[in-house]
Amino acid sequence: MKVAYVGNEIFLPPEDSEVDKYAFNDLSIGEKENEYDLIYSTNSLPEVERKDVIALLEAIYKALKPGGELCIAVPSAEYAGLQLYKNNIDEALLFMLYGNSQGNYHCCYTMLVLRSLLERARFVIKHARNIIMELTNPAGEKIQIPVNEIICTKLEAQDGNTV
Amino acid sequence: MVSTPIKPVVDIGIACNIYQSFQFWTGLVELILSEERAGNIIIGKIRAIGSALPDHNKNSIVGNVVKRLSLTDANRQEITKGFLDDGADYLFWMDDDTVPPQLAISTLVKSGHEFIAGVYYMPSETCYPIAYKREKSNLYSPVYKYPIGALLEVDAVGFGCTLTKRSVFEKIMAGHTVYVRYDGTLLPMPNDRIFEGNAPVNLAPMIKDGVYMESVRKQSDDENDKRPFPFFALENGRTEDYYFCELAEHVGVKPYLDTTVQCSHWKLGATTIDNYKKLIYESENIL
Repeated sequence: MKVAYVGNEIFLPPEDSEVDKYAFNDLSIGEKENEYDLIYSTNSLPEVERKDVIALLEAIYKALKPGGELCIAVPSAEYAGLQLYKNNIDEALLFMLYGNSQGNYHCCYTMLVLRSLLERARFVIKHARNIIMELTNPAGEKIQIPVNEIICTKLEAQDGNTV
Repeated sequence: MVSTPIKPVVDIGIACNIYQSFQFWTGLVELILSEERAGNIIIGKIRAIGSALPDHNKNSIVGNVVKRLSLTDANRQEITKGFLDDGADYLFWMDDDTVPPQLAISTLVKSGHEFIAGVYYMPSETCYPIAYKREKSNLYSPVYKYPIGALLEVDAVGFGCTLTKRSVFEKIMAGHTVYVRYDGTLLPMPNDRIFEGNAPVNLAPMIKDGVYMESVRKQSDDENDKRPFPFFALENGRTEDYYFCELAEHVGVKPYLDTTVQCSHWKLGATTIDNYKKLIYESENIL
């Protein structure tokens, strides 16, 4: 199985996979066509400048094999908004909104917005859910953040070509 | 040469009451027109049992038109039989008080899931979504507090806006053997839970050492028993959609809930996502 990481490597790849790594905003992944069975993009999209988001998703789509899956996760904007409204400001919330010293965030995504962007890039959504992700901050402490996780796929057309 | 993609054929099954609001009819027509205009799918037949669809049946568009004589499970059985005897790829279930949004059917088809529902809500307080997770007690509780846009695997869904692919029915039939209970009703049993042996004949239902027992016989042993496969049953105070979901789960198919497909649920007024938002805001103490 051929796997690519775009940005962070938070999830472990399946056993016996061949792994390629790209920076969070590296559009060169689109130079590979129908190459990967699985691509991870975890907490990376918020770092991408908004003008480049669609181009990056389209590049990932191109690099994915037909039938392959993209697993993408971003901090939950719904949760962050609710905490802001309630004035519950803590380190986890600040990270969800603004990132950290290793990467500043340009945008915070709701599930609906993330889904719309992926569908615009022609992905078919298979699963879209909230999960809790445990991260380690620069001080080595564990923090938990709710993320919107979407698993989507590149479909094959009935004539064998990609849709 | 460019090949033309084959469009899936979807029948619409409506099994419930006699009377509908005019808003239901407007919504149904808008749904069908939207699908016709978009052209992603072909609407096959509208299979309405127990509804007030007029029996004109022009162009054979309307099939299985029968006035309500029996309960919802029997109506669903009859719709399913009509669907399976015919050639459509999918059966889209809606109730005659639910109004799915435009392009609801093709949105659900496009997901690639063989068993997937849109969201509609309980029509009175508390307006939970009619989609459920099973608790440790094996009873069900509503799924809610998901972000709008979520597409979730759940344990059970109502059939007010639910797409089922033909393969789901086929898997259920292949994965079960139908038995006749002591009282004559049908019992589909997952094949991997059947253990043959020397069991007593004509044993009335009883409990021994905390285990429920009764004699059953295979329906297939009686060639005169032509009853169709029991996909739906109202039993033990539960509606027939739970029953179907559990049959599907036995063969590895669980329903998905697509929260971008938002229906209105009509009684005297409509229950919509606005009622759900109010429920969420109140539960978060922000209203």
